[in-house]
Amino acid sequence: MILLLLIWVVFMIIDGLKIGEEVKTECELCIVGGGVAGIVLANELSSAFSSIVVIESGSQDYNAQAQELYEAESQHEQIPNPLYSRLRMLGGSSNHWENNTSPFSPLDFEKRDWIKNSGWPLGFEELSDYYKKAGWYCGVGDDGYDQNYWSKKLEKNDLAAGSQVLKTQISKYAVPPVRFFQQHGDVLINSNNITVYTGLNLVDIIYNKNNKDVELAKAINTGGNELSVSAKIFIFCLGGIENARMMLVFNDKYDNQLGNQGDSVGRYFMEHPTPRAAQLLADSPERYSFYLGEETGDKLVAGYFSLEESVVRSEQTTNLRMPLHPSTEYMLSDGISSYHILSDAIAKGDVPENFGQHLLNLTADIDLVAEAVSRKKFQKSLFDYSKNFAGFQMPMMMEQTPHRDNRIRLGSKKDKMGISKLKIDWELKESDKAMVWKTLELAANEIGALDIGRMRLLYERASRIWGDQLGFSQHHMGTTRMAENPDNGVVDKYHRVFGTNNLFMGGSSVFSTGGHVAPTLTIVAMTIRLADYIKREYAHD
Amino acid sequence: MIDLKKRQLIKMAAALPLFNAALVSRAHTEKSDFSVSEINKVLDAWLKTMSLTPQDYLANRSVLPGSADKIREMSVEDFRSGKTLHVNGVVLSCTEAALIAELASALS
Repeated sequence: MILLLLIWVVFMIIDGLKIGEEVKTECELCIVGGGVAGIVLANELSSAFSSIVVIESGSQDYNAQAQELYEAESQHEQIPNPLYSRLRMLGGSSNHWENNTSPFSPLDFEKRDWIKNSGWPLGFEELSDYYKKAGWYCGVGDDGYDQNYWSKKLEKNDLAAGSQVLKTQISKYAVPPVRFFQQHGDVLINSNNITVYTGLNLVDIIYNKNNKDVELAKAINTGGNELSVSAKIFIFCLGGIENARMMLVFNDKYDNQLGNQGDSVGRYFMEHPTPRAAQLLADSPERYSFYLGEETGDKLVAGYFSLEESVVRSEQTTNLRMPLHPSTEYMLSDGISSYHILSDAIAKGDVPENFGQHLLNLTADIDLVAEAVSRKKFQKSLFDYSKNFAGFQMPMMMEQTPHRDNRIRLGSKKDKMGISKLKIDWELKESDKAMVWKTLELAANEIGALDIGRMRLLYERASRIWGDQLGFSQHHMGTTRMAENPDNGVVDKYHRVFGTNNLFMGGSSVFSTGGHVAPTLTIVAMTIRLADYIKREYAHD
Repeated sequence: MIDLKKRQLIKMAAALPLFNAALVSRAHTEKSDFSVSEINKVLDAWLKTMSLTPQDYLANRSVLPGSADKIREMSVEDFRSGKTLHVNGVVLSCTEAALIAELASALS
């Protein structure tokens, strides 16, 4: 019996590395990509279609050969190579995420006159109902993100209560993090109408220019054996970078008729940079317990500061996710930071900006600089007080606004499947940095007015904050963006690729703007909405 | 020994919350070079950017010795109206900055 069960399980997940030379199959729905979006779609649509094929490049476990296919030909020096920032396997990048969830804000979806290329073709109200179910998929429940509810439930003080400028928002994390294939993969394994092919890489499609249908998708394994899938509907869920990469390949073949009529495929690439541009100076961490996180049931709930939307609007800035991380004297030391800035500059034969201030910091903090040297060279701490609480670091998540010249392009080199590797052109614009500083100024004034601490804005460390210390969230968005029309986007409000009847895109590549919170909850909410649309339009009665 | 004026200033400044209170307390009790240098940074920043002296600023705002509530009220008003002073990046209200700057000049 156990043997029979095993055979059946193996049957529903077919190892594409072992298929014959040319395998052909037909289905109603073909999902390409078995990450978060692909798995949610399979779950949502399994009962609506008689036959679904899911194609995944990786397998259930990490596979270095599949992973290598992510390697970029070149990328901006600050952006991590997708070879390391993404995971090519069932469950996708949920296999290494922190499970940080918060919904986008209504303002994120609006056209903001002060932000070029902002505005989605759908409003928050069209998505809000889907967030509850998305919370279930993400393992954080359907109890929402209302700060008043959580403040009461956890008996914690909302330090921004009553403010017209600042507000507390909520992040929820499943403990342990949800790995989507482990958690939601049963449907893929056990449904008679779903067949999953692993180890197969999308390389080609057949698009009928006359009737605007994609008729066939071709995927090959490392040995060159090919699976051809014909389907009524195709949905690509390859991730925020690969969706664009494959669409660029197919647009080369089909004269830019697949959502690239306005030359938008691959453009508007956005990340969530995490500058450490400010600190919150405070006397002790206890008062801030709402922001330090508390486990309740199987999740952790933590507050963070953001600006009220009315202030973002009136000040014409972008919002920030400002969490608090308790930090020691050592961690907040100016001297250590200035030491690095001076060392780097001297090594290059330069004089840094604010040279005098850095020298002063170094002198004033010489004990902590010695502490740093001792820890690095001798793995030994010199001063106990270096471990004393000094305040909070604020590893903020910022909104990067959409720019056409931040883009993914095809390079000249090819991967093992014969697909062009990609080049990533990316830059954090000065206007985005300026809005971060503006938002921090507003937050600093309000934190002072609320008398909950004093903020320190690290202008003098700007060269490092925006340089070697700039972190990234590995959130890749915008490269097949949603828009009203093909002049400025790739897919319509229902994720359908402009110029096609039956090709859809799932995942954060369709985001028109990136917001200032982690995207996965919104990816899932949008995917459930997409599934509802597909059911309404295509499913049998 | 600290004279009466300095004592009054310290008392006023010590009414300030958090960061300032900690600084003033250190200057009062330890009088370490480090603390004094931190307080002097406030004075330096004040002199570089403000037209009024700290004393005049406080007088104009009717901040009197011992009026802790008034200091906090003025401080909140400053923050809300953007009357702030950046000292090595730390955003202080002008009222609290004036108090500390005045203290620094009294201690020097």
